[in-house]
Amino acid sequence: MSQIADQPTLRLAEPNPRPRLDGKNWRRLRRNQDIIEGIGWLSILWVVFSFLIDGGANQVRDLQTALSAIERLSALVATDLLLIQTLLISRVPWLDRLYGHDRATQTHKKLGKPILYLVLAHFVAVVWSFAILDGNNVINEYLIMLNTIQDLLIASIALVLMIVVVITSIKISRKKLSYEAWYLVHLFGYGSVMLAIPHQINTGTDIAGKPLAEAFWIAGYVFVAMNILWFRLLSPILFSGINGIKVSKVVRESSDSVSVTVSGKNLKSFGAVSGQFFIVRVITATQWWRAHPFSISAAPTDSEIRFTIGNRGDDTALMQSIKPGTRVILEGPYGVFTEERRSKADVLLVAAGIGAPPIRALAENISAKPGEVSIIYRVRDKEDAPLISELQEIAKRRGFYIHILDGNRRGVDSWLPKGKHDAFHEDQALLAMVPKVKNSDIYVCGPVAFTRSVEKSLERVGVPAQQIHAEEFAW
Amino acid sequence: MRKSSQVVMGVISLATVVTGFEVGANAKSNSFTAGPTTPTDTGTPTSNPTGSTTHTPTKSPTGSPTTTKTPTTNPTPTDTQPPSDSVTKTSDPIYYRYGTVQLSVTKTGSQITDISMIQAGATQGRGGAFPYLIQLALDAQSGNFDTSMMSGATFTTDAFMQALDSALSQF
Repeated sequence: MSQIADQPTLRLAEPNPRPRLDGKNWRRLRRNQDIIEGIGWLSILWVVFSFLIDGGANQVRDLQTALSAIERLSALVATDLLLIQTLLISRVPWLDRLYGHDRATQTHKKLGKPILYLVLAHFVAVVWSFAILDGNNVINEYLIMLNTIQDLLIASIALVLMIVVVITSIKISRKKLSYEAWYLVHLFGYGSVMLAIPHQINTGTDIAGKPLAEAFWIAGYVFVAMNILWFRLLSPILFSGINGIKVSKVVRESSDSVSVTVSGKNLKSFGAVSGQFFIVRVITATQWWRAHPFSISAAPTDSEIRFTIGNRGDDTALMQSIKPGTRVILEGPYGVFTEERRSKADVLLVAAGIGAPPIRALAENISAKPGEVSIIYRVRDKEDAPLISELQEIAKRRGFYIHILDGNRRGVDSWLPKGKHDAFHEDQALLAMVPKVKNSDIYVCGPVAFTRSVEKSLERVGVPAQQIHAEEFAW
Repeated sequence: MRKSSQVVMGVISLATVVTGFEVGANAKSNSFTAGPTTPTDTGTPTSNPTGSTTHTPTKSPTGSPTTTKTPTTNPTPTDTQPPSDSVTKTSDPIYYRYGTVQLSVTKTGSQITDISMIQAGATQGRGGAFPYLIQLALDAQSGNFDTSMMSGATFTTDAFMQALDSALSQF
């Protein structure tokens, strides 16, 4: 293999210390997840409880009082969920470390519509109940309410914004919108949350004039706002600025990928490890306002972090020709596609195409004795695959098994290429390449279809779900 | 969440909801958000002594069947007519989030002898607060009285106090 000769100077980081493999990490993780989920649930329970002890459910006697109860309860639960919703997508490290960005994002997507329905229920119920009380029709009543009730106009704008945010985020619209357009509209979500605050604090039946409730909600808003401001905005700008993080080297890896190394001081204090990614904001006149997730492709050092970036059009195309010296702001690190999640002595690393970077980084410094790690790298053309020679060099030096699977796909649902494996089912091929797979941790990174196909094979041969680690870029 | 944690959370949730409901059922006499126990025997002025203004409230304040604070029965007062040296002043209408509050204060000499609601706009059962507020004001003979017992009707109380101040300032 000619490329191997190209890498004699490849410097590898020291392997990580041996992680605990007795399942204690796993149990601790599950416990911490339960604590966080429990706190979220208790916050909802608390607002329901405060509604109930105020006689909220006991006041129901007729349609009007029932609507009034619905109006109050839906508003309370929706506001609580909205705070959770905002926190979920805020990528705060303490949530990311427990769930990973993909799971947090999936939950965020699932919660969007139910929250909107609750807010709509609140709106309809409150106008209807006031209309019954005043013997008015709902439209007149709404107009009267707009004039007489404090802050109702901006609360109504908040509702409109929320509808726009949800509509632009459902699948059909996402396909028609560019990422950038969707992103801009989605920022209205923050506006929606904030515009709704005055009418809650000033006129909310369950908040206004109730010191305990006021304290609870203000604390909730401040907590979420501080987390977002600090972790998303201030900390990345300050840290990247102070440590002078700049692009220092750009190396072409294949016809459609490039490695970008950024340098600076004190990079170790990010605490990044192999398998993670950063949200990278390139400070140029045209790109500064949008950031993108890029995977680390080598074990990070105190002075350098390397990303390998595939060309998928849009901004990643611009990254292919980024100039050394360009300032960048790094937000992160994110992701739980790391050795911290490992529970077995044997490890299988599976990459496809531009999924290679985190696998390459993991392979570099994973704690392993020769023979414990197998690598499967699926590429269309092995002469033009990112990081292939580095992976081969690492495998050679550290004594890992490596299987390069090249060629066109065997079928839509197959992770195998056409050709020499044609006589085997995917599962047979997997067991043949990695006999110890059932008792291994498996890290899979690649396009969604590829990852799903590998996961199915793993499930069929009997690998427990908690040993399978896959992180998707869920955007 | 793990099964065991789910069970624990489920039990806690059930207990909280049941407790909340029970407390809510018992606490409603203190809370004007729940109407049925609105008192009918607290010296509520059921007559409109002056006969000068007989607007009925523009908004039915409570939806509560037992509330008797609206001056429904006595638009032409006879026997409850206060002494002839009594003076009645009407407050400005106070607009607030649940409606409009307007009241009249009758003074005999320096004594506040009656307070009547002209407009008693309130929603969601808060109208039940007015009889209490009137009684408290009569007892205190001023707009300075402790409203801490009026939990659940903060806005209504504030609007009432403003209206009372408005009327008293005209004497």
